[in-house]
Formats: sequence, structure tokens, C-alpha cells
Amino acid sequence: MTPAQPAQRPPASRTAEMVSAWMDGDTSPDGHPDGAAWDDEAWRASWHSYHVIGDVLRGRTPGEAEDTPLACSQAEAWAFARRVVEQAGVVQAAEGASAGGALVQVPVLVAAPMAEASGTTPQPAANDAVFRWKMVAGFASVAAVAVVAWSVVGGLGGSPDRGAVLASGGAAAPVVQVAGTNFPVASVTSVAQTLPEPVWVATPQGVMLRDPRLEELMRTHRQTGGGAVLQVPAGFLRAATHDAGQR
Amino acid sequence: MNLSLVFTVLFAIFYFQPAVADQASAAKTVGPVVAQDVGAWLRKLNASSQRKAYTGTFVVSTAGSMSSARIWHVCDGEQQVERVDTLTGPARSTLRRNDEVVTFLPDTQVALLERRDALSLFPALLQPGDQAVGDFYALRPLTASDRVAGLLTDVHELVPRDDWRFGYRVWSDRKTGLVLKLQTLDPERRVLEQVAFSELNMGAPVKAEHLLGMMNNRSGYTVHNLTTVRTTPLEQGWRLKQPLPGFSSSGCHVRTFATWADQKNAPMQCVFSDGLASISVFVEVFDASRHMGSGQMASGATQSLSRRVGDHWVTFVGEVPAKTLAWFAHSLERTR
Repeated sequence: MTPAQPAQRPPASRTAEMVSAWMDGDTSPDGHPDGAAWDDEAWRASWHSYHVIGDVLRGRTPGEAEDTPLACSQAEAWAFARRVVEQAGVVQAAEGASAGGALVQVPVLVAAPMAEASGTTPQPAANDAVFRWKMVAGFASVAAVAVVAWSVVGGLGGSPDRGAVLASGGAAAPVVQVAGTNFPVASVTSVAQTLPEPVWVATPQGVMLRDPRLEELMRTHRQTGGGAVLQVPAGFLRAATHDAGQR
Repeated sequence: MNLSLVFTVLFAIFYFQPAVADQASAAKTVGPVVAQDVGAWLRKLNASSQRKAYTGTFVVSTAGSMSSARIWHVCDGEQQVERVDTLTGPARSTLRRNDEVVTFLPDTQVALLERRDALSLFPALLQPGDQAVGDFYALRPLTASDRVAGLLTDVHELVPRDDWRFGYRVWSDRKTGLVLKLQTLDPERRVLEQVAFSELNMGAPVKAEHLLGMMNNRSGYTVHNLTTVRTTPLEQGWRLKQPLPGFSSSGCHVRTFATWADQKNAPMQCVFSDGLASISVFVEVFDASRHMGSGQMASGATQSLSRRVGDHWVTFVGEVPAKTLAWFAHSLERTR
């Protein structure tokens, strides 16, 4: 539990500025003087303190231990963020992850099928760079929460087959359904088994925590209310259609 | 090249341009607000389309994504029967007979049975005498006509009279009144979400018996019954201390979801509607392990807002601006 950066390594103000610019999406970590931002302690410390400040501003105190974002160590948070940024590059190229993976019942970084696992060559979208930094921007605000989810997973990067596709690829692995449907397969097959787990998704606004329960509520709303008034089939159709390929 | 040909070409370009750039033209050619009863217009649309039989392909698109489904629809005057198969994402076949809905998930061989009041043949919201919708939306015919799914349509815009709701642009089949395309517009008139038929076969030979046969054939499927029990907010100990103008309650239920583990903590769902837009208020018992922090989210035109109220967790979902949900969140209070 480190509420602030280590005292023995106060980040230089220049570093703080650069990290700030990076988090605002004005630059990239490649803009680091040594081109090795990921390995720079000062950068890490500064980056971490941003999140600690964010947590405090959101009303979370450093005293709330294990289950709060602040509980994550700086190293964990950093490693997770790094992984996200690295994987963001292959978001749009997502094709089904490697076959044979069991249905995951753990949080999934939807945007992150590992390129090597899918066996396909990633085709970065034209707006890849922009998208990547949107991801970071969106991610920054929730990075701390992410680490909690991540620690449950036990390391996303180690299991490439847990990745799911953002686009609705035809050769989708089972996990795609977990991410893409509002009837998470694992949950439907065992109704009384476990609580739905949060799922990460990439949206135009950035990476967000997708709560299956919230999705279920949104789906229910669409079916019972949303749009049904303008025309009976419209609301129903929209509900039946919207869920399937969304997100 | 003679001059008349040049004029003909120029004329053709000028003439056909509006049909191509439907969005831009629709925005520009807004007609005067007609003192037409919005409620009556909606009822007419609804009534005229319900009796038709058709098959078609339906597309829902938002800024970042697109999904589509195939639909079979038939109405024999007494019952509406419908089948919707998803064409994108996981396979799902949904069959509906009036308010009975069966959803088949072939991948898992699971069938979900439920009853949905709001889908009844004649929604209570559109009963004659309901003038409220006209108090909050103005109906504006757009002079530009447009073709959707090969059919000529009339285009109307429902303009909200305040900023508590979104606007809509509606393309309805000139012959049958069936809504072929619907856009939800934010206050800056940007399209938040669009639903449209990409292809439609009006008068297709759809047999209700055939669809009902499919609906009742659940062999090989594990069937889950989703139950809904009617209730009222007061019965459950809730009230809105300051209702938002136009939004009135249109039903309250306790729902049991198939995917939720603790069935006894089934959430209450109350729906509020102003005649066009609707807001669902879901109330559950607070559980720190799954209610991970209050917040707001948008997906297409659908907004959601979650927050904790005492021992409960309340989620507001609706096709309304975020501030409308915030009002509801502020207004909802526990009575016991």
C-alpha cells in the first residue's frame, strides 16, 4: 500500500510534465528522452501518484485496503497499463483467439487477443494511433480499478486464449460470447453458479469496465421499454438486434 | 456539348442530391411545426403497421458498432407473431407471440421463457386521450421524401420541446405506415443511434402457425423461466419526490433474471415514460462484491447511471440525456 511515490525518488518536475502530457494524450511514452519510459522509475512513480491522487479525489482513502484500487502496488498497476497499451495496437485486427481455451469466468480484456495466439497478422486500423491514445485516456481514469480485476485474473497476458474479439469475427472463440452477449454463456449454463464477473471492453470512449449485470439491465430496459412506443416491433427488434453484435 | 445537356446534368445533380445526402437534406428542409396531434400520429403508425406480414433485415448502428438481425413478422388481427434471428454476434433466435417471448440460444442449447407486458398488442401508452406526448414533442414533417429498403417513405421529426429528452427522425412507409428507419438525435441533432430495415419484403407469406410451431418446439433445449411479478414503487418502499414533467409510471415489476445467482434478491424494475422515451429504474439489494462503484455510461442512445441509496443499489437506464437520469437519481427516495 503505497499512497504516494517513494520518497527517495521524487520525480523531477520535468518528468511530471511529460507524464501529464502523456496522460492527456498529447504525447506518447516514446517521447521519453531515452525512449525507455517503461523502465524509468521516475516516470512510474509519477504515473502512479496520478492515480493515487485520482483515487483520493474520487473519495477513496488510502486506508481502504485490499479491495480498493489503492491496494494495488505501483508495479502491478504499471505492468497492467503497459500491457493494455501494447495490446491496444491489435484491437481492430481481432480475429478469434486460439481454439481450445475453456470458457472464462473471469474478467476479460476484450480488446486484447494476442496477435501471436490468433495466428493472424494484425492489420492496424488507419486511426490506430488515435485509438490507442483514446484507450489510454479512457483507461487512465479506471486503471486503478483495472488492477483489482487483473489481480483476480492472475495475469491477463499469460493466457492469450482469454482474449476476445472486439469485432464480431466469424471464427470466434467461446470467450467472444462471454464478452459479446448479454447472456454470458458461462452464467446461462449454470444459472445458480457464480456471480457475473466484470468484463473489460473497448468503446469509442475508451476502455470501460463492463458489468454483465448492467448489461442485463440495459437489455431488459430495451426490451420492455426502450423504443417500444414508437412502434411495437421497433423496440423489440432493436432489443433483439442490438445486444448481439454490440460492443 | 450543347448547352441544354449541361443544364440537364446540372439539374439532375441538383435534383438528386437531397435524396443522397438524406441526413443533411432532412436537417435543412424542415417544414413548419404542424399542430398535428403527436399521439394521434403515433397511434396511426402503430395501428396501420401491426396488421402487416413481412420479412426483412434490420440494422442497428451506433457511432462505433453495427449489428443486424433477420425478422419474420405476421399479425392475423388477434395475435402478433414474430421471429428475430441475430445475424451478428452470438447466434440467438427470439420468437414472440404477443407478450410471450422465447429466446433460443443454440450455442448453449438454452431457451429462456418470459412475458413482457410492454410488448402487448396495444400499448397502454398509446391509448386515445393521451395528449401528454404532444406537450413534450412537436411533430415536424420533413419535406424531403426518401427511400428506405426500396420503399418510398415519409419523413417526420419529433422535436423535443425541452432538453430533458432526445429527438427522433422517423421514416415511415408511405403505403403501410411501417417505421422503416428511426434515428435518435441528441440536442445538437447529431444521430446517436439508428435503426433501419436494409431490406424488406412486405406481404411475405409468413405463417403464424409455422412460427408458433418453432416457438413451442424446445426439444434438446434446457428451458429457463423468467418470472415477472407486478408491484408498485410504494409497495417496495420507494417514491419520486419530484417527478420530471411528462414522465409517468407505466408499470413496475419484480423480475427474476436467469443469469443472476441470487434469485431471491430479484431487482424491481419500474418504467417511466413520456410517451416516446422511457426510463427504467432498477432497484436491488446492495452487494459490495458486485456493485463496483457508481457511475454513468452510454451505449448508443441508451444511458445508464448507477448509485447506492442506503442498503440498495439503483440503476437508471433510458434513452434520454444523462441529466434526465441524474434528475431521477436525485429524486428517488426511500420511504421506509
